[in-house]
Amino acid sequence: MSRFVLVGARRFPPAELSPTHVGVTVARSLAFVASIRRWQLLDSYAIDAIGRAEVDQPRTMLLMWASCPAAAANLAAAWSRVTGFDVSTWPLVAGRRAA
Amino acid sequence: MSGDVETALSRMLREEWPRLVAAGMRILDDFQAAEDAAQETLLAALDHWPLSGVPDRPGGWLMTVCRRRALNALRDRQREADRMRSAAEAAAVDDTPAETPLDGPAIIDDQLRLMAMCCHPVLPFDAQVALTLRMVAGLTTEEIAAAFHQPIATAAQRLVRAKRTLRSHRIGFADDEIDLPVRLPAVLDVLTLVFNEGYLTHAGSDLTRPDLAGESHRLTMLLTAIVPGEGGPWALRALQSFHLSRSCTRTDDNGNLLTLDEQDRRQWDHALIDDGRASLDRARQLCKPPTALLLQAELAACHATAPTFEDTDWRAIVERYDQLMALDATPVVELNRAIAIAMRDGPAAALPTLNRLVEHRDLARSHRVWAVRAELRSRLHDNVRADQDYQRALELVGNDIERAYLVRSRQQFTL
Repeated sequence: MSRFVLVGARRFPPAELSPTHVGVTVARSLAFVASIRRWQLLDSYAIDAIGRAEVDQPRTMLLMWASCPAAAANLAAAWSRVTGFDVSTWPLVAGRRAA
Repeated sequence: MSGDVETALSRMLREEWPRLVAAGMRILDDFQAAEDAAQETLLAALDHWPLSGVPDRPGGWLMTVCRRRALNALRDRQREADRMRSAAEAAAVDDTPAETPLDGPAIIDDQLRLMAMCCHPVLPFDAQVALTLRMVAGLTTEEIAAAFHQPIATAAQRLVRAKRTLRSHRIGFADDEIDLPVRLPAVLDVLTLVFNEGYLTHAGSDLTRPDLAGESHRLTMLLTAIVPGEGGPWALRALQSFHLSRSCTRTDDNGNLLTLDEQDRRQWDHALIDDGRASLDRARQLCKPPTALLLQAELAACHATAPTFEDTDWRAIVERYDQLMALDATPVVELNRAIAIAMRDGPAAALPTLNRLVEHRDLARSHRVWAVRAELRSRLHDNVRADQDYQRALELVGNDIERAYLVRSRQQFTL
Protein backbone atom coordinates (compact mmCIF):
# COMPACT_ATOMS: atom_id res chain seq x y z
CA MET A 1 0.00 0.00 0.00
CA SER A 2 1.17 3.51 -0.79
CA ARG A 3 0.05 6.86 0.37
CA PHE A 4 -1.51 9.44 -1.89
CA VAL A 5 -2.56 13.01 -1.31
CA LEU A 6 -5.93 13.92 -2.73
CA VAL A 7 -6.46 17.68 -3.05
CA GLY A 8 -10.03 18.88 -3.46
CA ALA A 9 -10.79 22.34 -4.82
CA ARG A 10 -13.80 24.16 -6.15
CA ARG A 11 -12.33 25.62 -9.28
CA PHE A 12 -15.27 27.93 -9.81
CA PRO A 13 -17.54 29.58 -7.31
CA PRO A 14 -20.55 27.29 -7.02
CA ALA A 15 -23.84 28.57 -8.28
CA GLU A 16 -26.39 29.37 -5.58
CA LEU A 17 -26.44 26.66 -2.96
CA SER A 18 -29.78 25.46 -1.79
CA PRO A 19 -29.93 24.24 1.83
CA THR A 20 -31.61 21.08 0.58
CA HIS A 21 -28.80 20.36 -1.85
CA VAL A 22 -26.16 21.01 0.81
CA GLY A 23 -27.93 18.62 3.20
CA VAL A 24 -27.95 15.86 0.61
CA THR A 25 -24.31 16.45 -0.35
CA VAL A 26 -23.13 16.50 3.27
CA ALA A 27 -24.98 13.25 3.98
CA ARG A 28 -23.46 11.53 0.95
CA SER A 29 -20.00 12.87 1.74
CA LEU A 30 -20.35 11.64 5.33
CA ALA A 31 -21.17 8.20 3.97
CA PHE A 32 -18.13 8.27 1.69
CA VAL A 33 -15.80 9.32 4.51
CA ALA A 34 -17.29 6.68 6.82
CA SER A 35 -16.56 4.04 4.16
CA ILE A 36 -12.94 4.98 3.64
CA ARG A 37 -12.48 5.12 7.41
CA ARG A 38 -14.04 1.68 7.78
CA TRP A 39 -11.72 0.30 5.11
CA GLN A 40 -8.78 2.00 6.91
CA LEU A 41 -7.83 3.90 3.79
CA LEU A 42 -7.90 7.36 5.37
CA ASP A 43 -4.62 8.29 7.02
CA SER A 44 -5.41 11.91 7.85
CA TYR A 45 -7.03 15.01 6.44
CA ALA A 46 -6.77 18.78 6.43
CA ILE A 47 -9.56 21.28 5.90
CA ASP A 48 -9.26 24.85 4.77
CA ALA A 49 -9.58 27.42 7.55
CA ILE A 50 -13.17 28.41 8.22
CA GLY A 51 -12.37 32.10 8.07
CA ARG A 52 -11.49 32.03 4.39
CA ALA A 53 -14.12 32.74 1.84
CA GLU A 54 -12.19 32.10 -1.38
CA VAL A 55 -13.68 29.31 -3.40
CA ASP A 56 -11.03 28.93 -6.08
CA GLN A 57 -8.40 27.55 -3.71
CA PRO A 58 -7.83 24.01 -2.42
CA ARG A 59 -10.40 23.36 0.29
CA THR A 60 -9.60 19.92 1.60
CA MET A 61 -6.77 17.40 1.47
CA LEU A 62 -7.01 13.70 2.19
CA LEU A 63 -3.99 11.53 2.93
CA MET A 64 -5.09 8.13 1.67
CA TRP A 65 -3.76 4.60 1.44
CA ALA A 66 -4.18 2.91 -1.94
CA SER A 67 -2.68 -0.14 -3.60
CA CYS A 68 -1.72 1.66 -6.81
CA PRO A 69 -2.22 4.97 -8.66
CA ALA A 70 -5.28 3.56 -10.43
CA ALA A 71 -6.89 2.69 -7.10
CA ALA A 72 -6.09 6.19 -5.82
CA ALA A 73 -7.62 7.64 -8.97
CA ASN A 74 -10.79 5.62 -8.33
CA LEU A 75 -11.01 6.98 -4.80
CA ALA A 76 -10.42 10.49 -6.12
CA ALA A 77 -13.21 10.06 -8.67
CA ALA A 78 -15.63 8.84 -5.99
CA TRP A 79 -14.72 11.72 -3.70
CA SER A 80 -15.21 14.17 -6.56
CA ARG A 81 -18.63 12.69 -7.33
CA VAL A 82 -19.98 13.12 -3.82
CA THR A 83 -18.45 16.51 -3.03
CA GLY A 84 -18.36 18.23 -6.40
CA PHE A 85 -14.66 18.95 -5.85
CA ASP A 86 -12.16 19.05 -8.65
CA VAL A 87 -9.72 16.48 -7.24
CA SER A 88 -5.99 16.19 -7.94
CA THR A 89 -4.07 13.07 -6.85
CA TRP A 90 -0.41 13.05 -5.84
CA PRO A 91 1.64 9.97 -4.87
CA LEU A 92 3.79 10.18 -1.75
CA VAL A 93 7.07 8.29 -1.63
CA ALA A 94 8.34 6.24 1.32
CA GLY A 95 4.97 6.14 3.01
CA ARG A 96 4.35 3.49 5.65
CA ARG A 97 1.13 2.55 7.34
CA ALA A 98 1.17 3.37 11.04
CA ALA A 99 0.93 0.39 13.38
CA MET B 1 -25.93 6.62 4.61
CA SER B 2 -29.66 6.35 4.49
CA GLY B 3 -32.06 8.74 2.86
CA ASP B 4 -33.29 9.58 6.36
CA VAL B 5 -30.00 11.32 7.11
CA GLU B 6 -30.22 13.29 3.85
CA THR B 7 -33.76 14.31 4.72
CA ALA B 8 -32.89 15.25 8.29
CA LEU B 9 -29.86 17.28 7.28
CA SER B 10 -31.74 19.01 4.48
CA ARG B 11 -34.58 19.90 6.80
CA MET B 12 -32.22 21.16 9.47
CA LEU B 13 -30.35 23.35 6.98
CA ARG B 14 -33.60 24.72 5.54
CA GLU B 15 -34.70 25.64 9.04
CA GLU B 16 -31.37 27.31 9.79
CA TRP B 17 -31.26 29.24 6.51
CA PRO B 18 -33.58 32.14 7.46
CA ARG B 19 -31.78 32.50 10.79
CA LEU B 20 -28.47 32.83 8.95
CA VAL B 21 -29.82 35.38 6.48
CA ALA B 22 -31.38 37.30 9.35
CA ALA B 23 -28.11 37.24 11.31
CA GLY B 24 -26.31 38.51 8.22
CA MET B 25 -28.92 41.23 7.79
CA ARG B 26 -28.51 42.38 11.35
CA ILE B 27 -24.78 42.90 10.79
CA LEU B 28 -24.66 43.97 7.15
CA ASP B 29 -28.13 45.44 6.59
CA ASP B 30 -27.98 44.43 2.94
CA PHE B 31 -29.87 41.52 1.44
CA GLN B 32 -27.23 40.61 -1.13
CA ALA B 33 -24.37 40.72 1.36
CA ALA B 34 -26.40 38.77 3.95
CA GLU B 35 -27.26 36.14 1.37
CA ASP B 36 -23.58 35.89 0.41
CA ALA B 37 -22.62 35.36 4.06
CA ALA B 38 -25.26 32.63 4.42
CA GLN B 39 -24.09 31.00 1.18
CA GLU B 40 -20.47 30.98 2.36
CA THR B 41 -21.62 29.43 5.62
CA LEU B 42 -23.27 26.59 3.74
CA LEU B 43 -20.08 26.18 1.76
CA ALA B 44 -18.07 25.96 5.00
CA ALA B 45 -20.44 23.27 6.29
CA LEU B 46 -20.08 21.45 3.01
CA ASP B 47 -16.30 21.41 3.45
CA HIS B 48 -16.07 20.69 7.18
CA TRP B 49 -18.90 18.46 8.25
CA PRO B 50 -18.14 15.43 6.06
CA LEU B 51 -14.68 15.11 7.59
CA SER B 52 -14.97 16.58 11.06
CA GLY B 53 -18.53 15.33 11.60
CA VAL B 54 -21.78 17.21 12.05
CA PRO B 55 -21.44 19.30 15.24
CA ASP B 56 -23.61 18.47 18.24
CA ARG B 57 -25.30 21.83 17.82
CA PRO B 58 -25.10 22.44 14.09
CA GLY B 59 -27.28 25.53 14.30
CA GLY B 60 -24.83 27.19 16.68
CA TRP B 61 -21.90 26.25 14.45
CA LEU B 62 -23.59 27.73 11.40
CA MET B 63 -24.60 30.88 13.23
CA THR B 64 -21.07 31.53 14.47
CA VAL B 65 -19.55 31.00 11.04
CA CYS B 66 -22.19 33.18 9.42
CA ARG B 67 -21.68 36.01 11.87
CA ARG B 68 -17.92 35.79 11.33
CA ARG B 69 -18.37 35.90 7.56
CA ALA B 70 -20.66 38.88 7.90
CA LEU B 71 -18.20 40.66 10.15
CA ASN B 72 -15.40 39.95 7.69
CA ALA B 73 -17.50 41.41 4.92
CA LEU B 74 -18.17 44.44 7.05
CA ARG B 75 -14.46 44.87 7.74
CA ASP B 76 -13.70 44.47 4.04
CA ARG B 77 -16.05 47.27 3.24
CA GLN B 78 -14.30 49.37 5.89
CA ARG B 79 -17.34 51.36 6.71
CA GLU B 80 -20.03 51.57 9.28
CA ALA B 81 -17.40 51.32 11.98
CA ASP B 82 -19.83 51.86 14.82
CA ARG B 83 -22.15 49.15 13.64
CA MET B 84 -19.26 46.68 13.40
CA ARG B 85 -18.10 47.40 16.92
CA SER B 86 -21.47 46.76 18.45
CA ALA B 87 -22.03 43.65 16.35
CA ALA B 88 -18.60 42.30 17.21
CA GLU B 89 -19.38 42.56 20.88
CA ALA B 90 -22.46 40.50 20.38
CA ALA B 91 -20.85 37.75 18.31
CA ALA B 92 -18.36 35.17 19.50
CA VAL B 93 -15.28 35.43 17.28
CA ASP B 94 -12.91 32.72 18.53
CA ASP B 95 -11.36 30.34 16.01
CA THR B 96 -13.64 27.40 16.73
CA PRO B 97 -17.27 27.91 15.97
CA ALA B 98 -19.10 27.98 19.27
CA GLU B 99 -22.28 26.00 19.53
CA THR B 100 -24.35 28.79 20.89
CA PRO B 101 -27.99 28.45 21.84
CA LEU B 102 -30.27 29.77 19.18
CA ASP B 103 -33.67 30.27 20.60
CA GLY B 104 -33.23 33.72 22.05
CA PRO B 105 -35.90 36.33 21.48
CA ALA B 106 -33.56 38.33 19.21
CA ILE B 107 -33.23 35.41 16.79
CA ILE B 108 -36.97 34.87 16.67
CA ASP B 109 -37.47 38.59 16.22
CA ASP B 110 -34.93 38.56 13.38
CA GLN B 111 -36.81 35.86 11.51
CA LEU B 112 -39.98 37.88 11.73
CA ARG B 113 -38.09 40.94 10.55
CA LEU B 114 -36.79 38.92 7.63
CA MET B 115 -40.27 37.82 6.60
CA ALA B 116 -41.63 41.32 7.06
CA MET B 117 -38.83 42.82 4.95
CA CYS B 118 -39.40 40.31 2.16
CA CYS B 119 -43.06 41.33 2.18
CA HIS B 120 -42.38 45.05 2.41
CA PRO B 121 -45.17 47.09 0.80
CA VAL B 122 -42.66 48.93 -1.37
CA LEU B 123 -42.19 45.70 -3.35
CA PRO B 124 -44.68 44.38 -5.90
CA PHE B 125 -46.45 41.20 -4.84
CA ASP B 126 -44.54 38.88 -7.19
CA ALA B 127 -41.26 40.28 -5.86
CA GLN B 128 -42.45 39.69 -2.29
CA VAL B 129 -43.14 36.07 -3.17
CA ALA B 130 -39.79 35.55 -4.90
CA LEU B 131 -37.81 37.23 -2.12
CA THR B 132 -39.60 35.23 0.59
CA LEU B 133 -38.88 31.97 -1.20
CA ARG B 134 -35.22 32.89 -1.60
CA MET B 135 -34.45 34.53 1.73
CA VAL B 136 -36.79 32.69 4.09
CA ALA B 137 -37.31 29.32 2.42
CA GLY B 138 -33.82 29.07 0.90
CA LEU B 139 -34.99 28.09 -2.58
CA THR B 140 -32.47 28.88 -5.30
CA THR B 141 -33.33 31.18 -8.19
CA GLU B 142 -33.59 28.13 -10.43
CA GLU B 143 -36.04 26.43 -8.04
CA ILE B 144 -38.16 29.58 -7.81
CA ALA B 145 -38.24 29.87 -11.59
CA ALA B 146 -39.29 26.22 -11.89
CA ALA B 147 -41.96 26.63 -9.22
CA PHE B 148 -43.69 29.39 -11.14
CA HIS B 149 -42.86 28.17 -14.65
CA GLN B 150 -40.75 31.22 -15.40
CA PRO B 151 -37.42 31.57 -17.20
CA ILE B 152 -34.53 31.60 -14.73
CA ALA B 153 -33.50 35.05 -16.00
CA THR B 154 -36.93 36.44 -15.10
CA ALA B 155 -36.79 35.09 -11.57
CA ALA B 156 -33.20 36.32 -11.17
CA GLN B 157 -34.10 39.80 -12.40
CA ARG B 158 -37.06 39.95 -10.06
CA LEU B 159 -34.83 39.09 -7.09
CA VAL B 160 -32.11 41.55 -8.06
CA ARG B 161 -34.68 44.30 -8.60
CA ALA B 162 -36.33 43.57 -5.25
CA LYS B 163 -33.03 43.78 -3.37
CA ARG B 164 -32.14 46.98 -5.22
CA THR B 165 -35.53 48.50 -4.42
CA LEU B 166 -35.12 47.82 -0.71
CA ARG B 167 -31.62 49.27 -0.77
CA SER B 168 -32.63 52.36 -2.74
CA HIS B 169 -35.48 53.03 -0.32
CA ARG B 170 -33.00 52.69 2.55
CA ILE B 171 -35.22 50.16 4.26
CA GLY B 172 -33.18 49.04 7.22
CA PHE B 173 -33.33 45.66 8.89
CA ALA B 174 -32.80 46.45 12.53
CA ASP B 175 -33.48 50.16 12.76
CA ASP B 176 -37.23 50.37 12.55
CA GLU B 177 -39.82 48.66 14.65
CA ILE B 178 -41.86 46.25 12.58
CA ASP B 179 -45.43 47.38 12.36
CA LEU B 180 -46.74 43.85 12.71
CA PRO B 181 -50.45 44.42 12.19
CA VAL B 182 -49.63 46.22 8.94
CA ARG B 183 -47.10 43.68 7.65
CA LEU B 184 -48.66 40.41 8.77
CA PRO B 185 -51.42 40.33 6.12
CA ALA B 186 -48.81 40.66 3.36
CA VAL B 187 -46.77 37.82 4.89
CA LEU B 188 -49.90 35.66 5.11
CA ASP B 189 -50.85 36.55 1.51
CA VAL B 190 -47.44 35.44 0.27
CA LEU B 191 -47.57 32.19 2.24
CA THR B 192 -51.11 31.54 0.97
CA LEU B 193 -50.13 32.08 -2.64
CA VAL B 194 -47.12 29.80 -2.33
CA PHE B 195 -49.28 27.15 -0.68
CA ASN B 196 -52.03 27.40 -3.29
CA GLU B 197 -49.55 27.03 -6.12
CA GLY B 198 -48.05 24.03 -4.35
CA TYR B 199 -51.40 22.44 -3.51
CA LEU B 200 -52.91 22.75 -6.97
CA THR B 201 -50.34 23.66 -9.59
CA HIS B 202 -51.86 25.94 -12.22
CA ALA B 203 -49.93 24.42 -15.12
CA GLY B 204 -47.78 21.44 -15.93
CA SER B 205 -47.96 17.71 -15.54
CA ASP B 206 -48.08 17.49 -11.74
CA LEU B 207 -51.21 18.07 -9.69
CA THR B 208 -49.22 19.36 -6.75
CA ARG B 209 -45.79 20.71 -5.96
CA PRO B 210 -45.25 19.19 -2.51
CA ASP B 211 -42.04 21.17 -2.08
CA LEU B 212 -43.87 24.49 -2.38
CA ALA B 213 -46.87 23.47 -0.29
CA GLY B 214 -44.54 21.95 2.32
CA GLU B 215 -42.33 25.04 2.45
CA SER B 216 -45.33 27.30 2.89
CA HIS B 217 -46.68 25.05 5.66
CA ARG B 218 -43.29 25.01 7.37
CA LEU B 219 -42.99 28.80 7.20
CA THR B 220 -46.54 29.19 8.49
CA MET B 221 -45.70 26.93 11.43
CA LEU B 222 -42.60 29.05 12.00
CA LEU B 223 -44.80 32.13 11.98
CA THR B 224 -47.10 30.65 14.63
CA ALA B 225 -44.02 30.06 16.77
CA ILE B 226 -42.74 33.59 16.21
CA VAL B 227 -46.04 35.41 16.80
CA PRO B 228 -48.18 32.97 18.80
CA GLY B 229 -50.52 35.74 19.89
CA GLU B 230 -51.72 36.52 16.35
CA GLY B 231 -54.73 34.63 15.02
CA GLY B 232 -53.98 34.88 11.28
CA PRO B 233 -51.00 32.50 11.24
CA TRP B 234 -52.92 29.94 13.33
CA ALA B 235 -55.86 30.10 10.93
CA LEU B 236 -53.58 29.66 7.93
CA ARG B 237 -51.78 26.78 9.64
CA ALA B 238 -55.13 25.08 10.31
CA LEU B 239 -56.22 25.59 6.71
CA GLN B 240 -52.97 24.21 5.32
CA SER B 241 -52.86 21.25 7.72
CA PHE B 242 -56.40 20.21 6.81
CA HIS B 243 -55.63 20.47 3.09
CA LEU B 244 -52.28 18.68 3.33
CA SER B 245 -53.85 15.84 5.32
CA ARG B 246 -55.50 14.70 2.07
CA SER B 247 -52.38 14.99 -0.10
CA CYS B 248 -51.68 11.32 -0.57
CA THR B 249 -55.26 10.47 -1.60
CA ARG B 250 -55.85 13.17 -4.19
CA THR B 251 -54.72 10.96 -7.06
CA ASP B 252 -54.98 7.22 -7.67
CA ASP B 253 -52.09 4.89 -8.52
CA ASN B 254 -52.30 5.97 -12.16
CA GLY B 255 -52.13 9.66 -11.30
CA ASN B 256 -55.83 10.31 -11.94
CA LEU B 257 -57.48 13.03 -9.88
CA LEU B 258 -59.78 11.71 -7.14
CA THR B 259 -62.58 13.94 -5.87
CA LEU B 260 -63.48 14.12 -2.18
CA ASP B 261 -66.17 11.45 -2.48
CA GLU B 262 -63.70 9.08 -4.17
CA GLN B 263 -60.86 9.45 -1.65
CA ASP B 264 -60.05 6.79 0.94
CA ARG B 265 -60.38 8.75 4.18
CA ARG B 266 -58.56 6.07 6.18
CA GLN B 267 -55.40 7.18 4.38
CA TRP B 268 -55.73 10.83 5.34
CA ASP B 269 -52.93 12.05 7.59
CA HIS B 270 -54.59 12.18 11.00
CA ALA B 271 -51.61 13.84 12.66
CA LEU B 272 -52.09 16.78 10.30
CA ILE B 273 -55.85 16.77 10.95
CA ASP B 274 -55.12 16.91 14.69
CA ASP B 275 -52.70 19.79 14.06
CA GLY B 276 -55.43 21.49 12.03
CA ARG B 277 -57.96 21.08 14.86
CA ALA B 278 -55.55 22.41 17.50
CA SER B 279 -54.52 25.34 15.31
CA LEU B 280 -58.16 26.12 14.54
CA ASP B 281 -58.95 26.18 18.27
CA ARG B 282 -56.17 28.73 18.80
CA ALA B 283 -57.33 30.76 15.81
CA ARG B 284 -60.94 30.82 17.09
CA GLN B 285 -59.72 32.24 20.41
CA LEU B 286 -57.64 34.92 18.73
CA CYS B 287 -59.67 35.92 15.65
CA LYS B 288 -62.49 37.95 17.12
CA PRO B 289 -64.53 38.79 15.17
CA PRO B 290 -63.92 35.90 12.74
CA THR B 291 -61.68 36.72 9.79
CA ALA B 292 -61.93 35.43 6.24
CA LEU B 293 -58.92 33.19 6.86
CA LEU B 294 -60.54 31.71 9.96
CA LEU B 295 -63.74 30.95 8.02
CA GLN B 296 -61.72 29.28 5.27
CA ALA B 297 -60.06 27.12 7.91
CA GLU B 298 -63.50 26.30 9.37
CA LEU B 299 -64.63 25.22 5.91
CA ALA B 300 -61.56 23.02 5.47
CA ALA B 301 -62.29 21.50 8.90
CA CYS B 302 -65.85 20.61 7.83
CA HIS B 303 -64.42 18.48 5.02
CA ALA B 304 -61.39 17.07 6.84
CA THR B 305 -63.27 15.98 9.96
CA ALA B 306 -66.33 14.41 8.30
CA PRO B 307 -66.06 10.62 8.81
CA THR B 308 -67.50 9.93 5.33
CA PHE B 309 -68.39 12.06 2.33
CA GLU B 310 -72.08 11.42 3.06
CA ASP B 311 -71.58 12.79 6.58
CA THR B 312 -70.36 16.15 5.27
CA ASP B 313 -72.40 18.90 6.90
CA TRP B 314 -73.32 20.93 3.79
CA ARG B 315 -75.71 23.07 5.82
CA ALA B 316 -72.84 24.25 8.05
CA ILE B 317 -70.64 24.73 4.99
CA VAL B 318 -73.20 26.99 3.29
CA GLU B 319 -73.52 28.98 6.53
CA ARG B 320 -69.75 29.48 6.64
CA TYR B 321 -69.77 30.60 3.02
CA ASP B 322 -72.54 33.07 3.82
CA GLN B 323 -70.36 34.51 6.60
CA LEU B 324 -67.37 34.53 4.26
CA MET B 325 -69.36 36.33 1.55
CA ALA B 326 -70.20 39.03 4.07
CA LEU B 327 -66.48 39.59 4.67
CA ASP B 328 -64.90 38.78 1.35
CA ALA B 329 -67.38 38.61 -1.51
CA THR B 330 -65.06 37.42 -4.25
CA PRO B 331 -66.35 35.48 -7.27
CA VAL B 332 -64.26 32.46 -6.18
CA VAL B 333 -66.01 32.39 -2.79
CA GLU B 334 -69.34 32.72 -4.56
CA LEU B 335 -68.47 29.81 -6.84
CA ASN B 336 -67.55 27.61 -3.88
CA ARG B 337 -70.75 28.62 -2.10
CA ALA B 338 -72.73 27.64 -5.19
CA ILE B 339 -71.12 24.19 -5.13
CA ALA B 340 -72.09 23.80 -1.48
CA ILE B 341 -75.66 24.87 -2.27
CA ALA B 342 -75.77 22.31 -5.07
CA MET B 343 -74.71 19.65 -2.59
CA ARG B 344 -77.27 20.75 -0.02
CA ASP B 345 -80.27 21.57 -2.22
CA GLY B 346 -79.50 19.94 -5.58
CA PRO B 347 -77.91 21.24 -8.81
CA ALA B 348 -80.89 23.32 -9.96
CA ALA B 349 -80.58 25.56 -6.89
CA ALA B 350 -77.02 26.53 -7.80
CA LEU B 351 -77.43 26.94 -11.53
CA PRO B 352 -78.60 30.60 -11.56
CA THR B 353 -75.45 31.61 -9.65
CA LEU B 354 -73.27 29.68 -12.09
CA ASN B 355 -75.02 31.31 -15.06
CA ARG B 356 -74.07 34.67 -13.61
CA LEU B 357 -70.50 33.68 -12.68
CA VAL B 358 -69.56 32.44 -16.16
CA GLU B 359 -70.20 35.99 -17.32
CA HIS B 360 -67.81 37.39 -14.71
CA ARG B 361 -64.84 39.14 -16.31
CA ASP B 362 -62.15 37.31 -14.27
CA LEU B 363 -63.83 34.03 -13.55
CA ALA B 364 -64.82 33.41 -17.19
CA ARG B 365 -61.13 32.79 -17.94
CA SER B 366 -60.92 30.07 -15.30
CA HIS B 367 -61.69 26.49 -16.34
CA ARG B 368 -63.19 25.84 -12.93
CA VAL B 369 -66.41 27.79 -13.32
CA TRP B 370 -67.12 26.03 -16.64
CA ALA B 371 -66.28 22.65 -15.18
CA VAL B 372 -68.64 23.20 -12.25
CA ARG B 373 -71.51 24.30 -14.50
CA ALA B 374 -70.84 21.33 -16.79
CA GLU B 375 -71.12 19.01 -13.79
CA LEU B 376 -74.36 20.63 -12.62
CA ARG B 377 -75.87 20.52 -16.09
CA SER B 378 -74.90 16.88 -16.55
CA ARG B 379 -76.57 16.05 -13.22
CA LEU B 380 -79.69 17.79 -14.59
CA HIS B 381 -79.38 15.73 -17.82
CA ASP B 382 -78.89 18.90 -19.86
CA ASN B 383 -76.31 17.00 -21.87
CA VAL B 384 -75.83 19.23 -24.90
CA ARG B 385 -75.09 22.33 -22.84
CA ALA B 386 -73.03 20.34 -20.33
CA ASP B 387 -70.87 19.14 -23.20
CA GLN B 388 -70.36 22.72 -24.38
CA ASP B 389 -69.25 23.72 -20.88
CA TYR B 390 -66.83 20.78 -20.65
CA GLN B 391 -65.40 21.86 -24.00
CA ARG B 392 -64.83 25.40 -22.72
CA ALA B 393 -63.26 24.09 -19.48
CA LEU B 394 -60.91 21.89 -21.47
CA GLU B 395 -59.82 24.86 -23.56
CA LEU B 396 -58.89 26.80 -20.44
CA VAL B 397 -57.41 24.19 -18.08
CA GLY B 398 -53.61 24.34 -17.66
CA ASN B 399 -52.92 21.35 -15.44
CA ASP B 400 -52.58 18.01 -17.20
CA ILE B 401 -54.11 15.94 -14.38
CA GLU B 402 -57.13 18.22 -14.12
CA ARG B 403 -57.47 18.04 -17.90
CA ALA B 404 -57.51 14.23 -17.76
CA TYR B 405 -60.17 14.41 -15.03
CA LEU B 406 -62.34 16.68 -17.19
CA VAL B 407 -61.95 14.39 -20.19
CA ARG B 408 -62.96 11.44 -18.02
CA SER B 409 -65.98 13.25 -16.59
CA ARG B 410 -67.10 14.33 -20.03
CA GLN B 411 -66.83 10.76 -21.34
CA GLN B 412 -68.74 9.35 -18.38
CA PHE B 413 -71.81 11.52 -18.79
CA THR B 414 -71.98 11.09 -22.57
CA LEU B 415 -71.85 7.29 -22.28
